[in-house]
Amino acid sequence: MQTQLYAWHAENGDIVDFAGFQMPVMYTSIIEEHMAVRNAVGLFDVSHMGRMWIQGKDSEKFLNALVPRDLSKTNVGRASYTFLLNELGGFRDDLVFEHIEENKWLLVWNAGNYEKILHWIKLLSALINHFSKLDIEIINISSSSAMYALQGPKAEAVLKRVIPENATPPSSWNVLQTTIDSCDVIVSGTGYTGESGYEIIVFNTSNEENTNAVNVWTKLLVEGKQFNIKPCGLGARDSLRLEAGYHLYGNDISECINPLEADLFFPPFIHINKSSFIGKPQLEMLKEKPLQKIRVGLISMKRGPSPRSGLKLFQGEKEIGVISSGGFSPILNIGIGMGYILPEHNVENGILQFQVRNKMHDVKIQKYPLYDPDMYGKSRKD
Amino acid sequence: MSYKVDDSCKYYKEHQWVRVEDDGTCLIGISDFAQQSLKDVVMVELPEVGDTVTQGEVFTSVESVKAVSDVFSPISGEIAEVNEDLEDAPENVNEDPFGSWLVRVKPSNLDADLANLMSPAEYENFCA
Repeated sequence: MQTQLYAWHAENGDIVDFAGFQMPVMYTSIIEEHMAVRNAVGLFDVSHMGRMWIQGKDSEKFLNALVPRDLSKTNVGRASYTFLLNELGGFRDDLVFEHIEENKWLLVWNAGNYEKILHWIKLLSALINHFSKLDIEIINISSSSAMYALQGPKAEAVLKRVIPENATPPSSWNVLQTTIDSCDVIVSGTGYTGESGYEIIVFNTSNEENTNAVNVWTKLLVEGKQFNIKPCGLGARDSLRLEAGYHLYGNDISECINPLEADLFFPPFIHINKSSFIGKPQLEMLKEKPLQKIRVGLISMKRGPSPRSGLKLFQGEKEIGVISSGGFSPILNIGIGMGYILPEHNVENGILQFQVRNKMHDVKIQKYPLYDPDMYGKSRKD
Repeated sequence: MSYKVDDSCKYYKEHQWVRVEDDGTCLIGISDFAQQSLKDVVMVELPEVGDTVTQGEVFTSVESVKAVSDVFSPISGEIAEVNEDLEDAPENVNEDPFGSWLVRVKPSNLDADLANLMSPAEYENFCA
């Protein structure tokens, strides 16, 4: 599959397959794109992610039964991050819910779970509807919209130049319905890089008629030029989220990993005292049991091979875990990653090893974010 | 895209070059094609002096932000020296792929090994 910007990506970048989509891994250099987001602003095409409307009088009640977060607290104009859990308390997906209007929600979920989540939500609503009439409508808009992430300390300055003068850029986790270049868009104060910034959904556009998608993308690049904006590919998206310590579905969380193990079992992502939600009995049971493993951040002790997904972790001779994600950090100039280890080995600054060929390489257990939060990321001190 | 090919080298199909030096030892590196595909090289894993390498077998790796790439040995022999400069300046591989050798090898079967490799002209064709 291709996003509406495929022709632009193919002309300007290197294309790889990701979750069935032909996506740009980079345009010029992953390091340059990564640094643009940390120091200025970067623009990503994230249209491969799934998007659907859930609307109708019962939409909030329906959604609140699905997720461990209390969505009744997500007012109109706000967005929330949470999970869909499975029958064992594992992750079905992680996703963002935007409360656009009274009885109207927008869900954004992972490209890798596109079919799974779409069908599961439709199935549940059909099942409930079979027993008692449910006033909800599910509209998949994944291919009739486009979605971009504008990220970095200069993102706000760029956004101000493209939205109408009387509009205010939404603050973190707020949502704004507005226009860019006369195209209808929804802008949310969200993203997955560790930096402040926005995700922008462009409407009335499709692979067949992509004028609006192309216009908004081009407008952002043109108006961002004075701030040294860079189009960024999936390579920088991955290295940025890794530095921030953000988990990636399919690597760091999955159907077989639960929120306690992923160290994501806390409000507001999970309100365990909510009256009911899918996965609640399992989480209540799991939290009384000893943890089997825990997710930790890792940082290499010196230059050498970076931690990589799938490599085993050792402490001395003893195998104690596995790396779930890893790579090179352009900010720290060293290998970083995250992995799952036996909980008794989770000691801050504890030293672990991973093996590449016949050599062991030391990594240190490190809190997120892996960069200095005073210098980078949304809480940086100017 | 265009790729530089160094006329003083012979080439293995996984994009490594080997250059026979006057003293009979051989330098091994990765080609311009390889470094352009990897982009931003951030780490060259240096093997140990004394390790043996075998033609067509992986003996080390080069890492860019994009990917980790196995490095195959174009010839068989014993590692006599590793290019320690690359430990601190792996980007040299991007800037000067034919100058930034990874290892110096004392060859054990040089004539037969060289016969299996591509000439500069053949390699240029191979990359096209």
